[in-house]
Amino acid sequence: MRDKNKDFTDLLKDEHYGKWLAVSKDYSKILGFSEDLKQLTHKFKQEKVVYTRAQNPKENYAF
Amino acid sequence: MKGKWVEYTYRCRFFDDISGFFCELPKIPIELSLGGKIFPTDGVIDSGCSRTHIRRDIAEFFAIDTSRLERATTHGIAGSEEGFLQKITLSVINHGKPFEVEALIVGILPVPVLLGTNDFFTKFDVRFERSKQHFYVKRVQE
Repeated sequence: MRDKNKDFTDLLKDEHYGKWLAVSKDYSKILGFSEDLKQLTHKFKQEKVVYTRAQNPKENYAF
Repeated sequence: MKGKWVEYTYRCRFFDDISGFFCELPKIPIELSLGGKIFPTDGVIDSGCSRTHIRRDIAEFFAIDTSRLERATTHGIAGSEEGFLQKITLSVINHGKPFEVEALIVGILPVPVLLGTNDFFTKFDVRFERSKQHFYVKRVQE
């Protein structure tokens, strides 16, 4: 069972986890990543990106 | 005005070496805005969260001076943390007019935003169908 719609999560690597990601508005591409959100927000215009964070599949999450 | 159910797909992928099928938490596109600045991000729909929480670095993006804010404690599975209450405008993309929430700014949060029960859930109904890889959101109150 797999989502037929490809999105940026197919492109995630270990280097992305625990960091901020700038992804395209359609969630198809990773445009940049950084531990520092300020660095990303200076690099990309807000109309072109969504800032998000990906969960590491090797870790568990309970808030 | 009440909205219609909007379908979202859990972002899932398969790993040979870990636990097999892994899906991201149920996230929806949102925008936070304050003082003329807009932050496009996504929020995790968290029915176990009493109030909307946002990461401290988002507060820094808005240049929020936390020293003048009321403090409040949040309790999670990993312990407690003192955060800061800040009114901020939340827009859920494709779900009508933005609205104000009093969010808690916290330092330790692995996701940008948690959408909580006392603000987000008063305006939206949510249906989780994780077994089918979908969840649904409907605006029920403006």
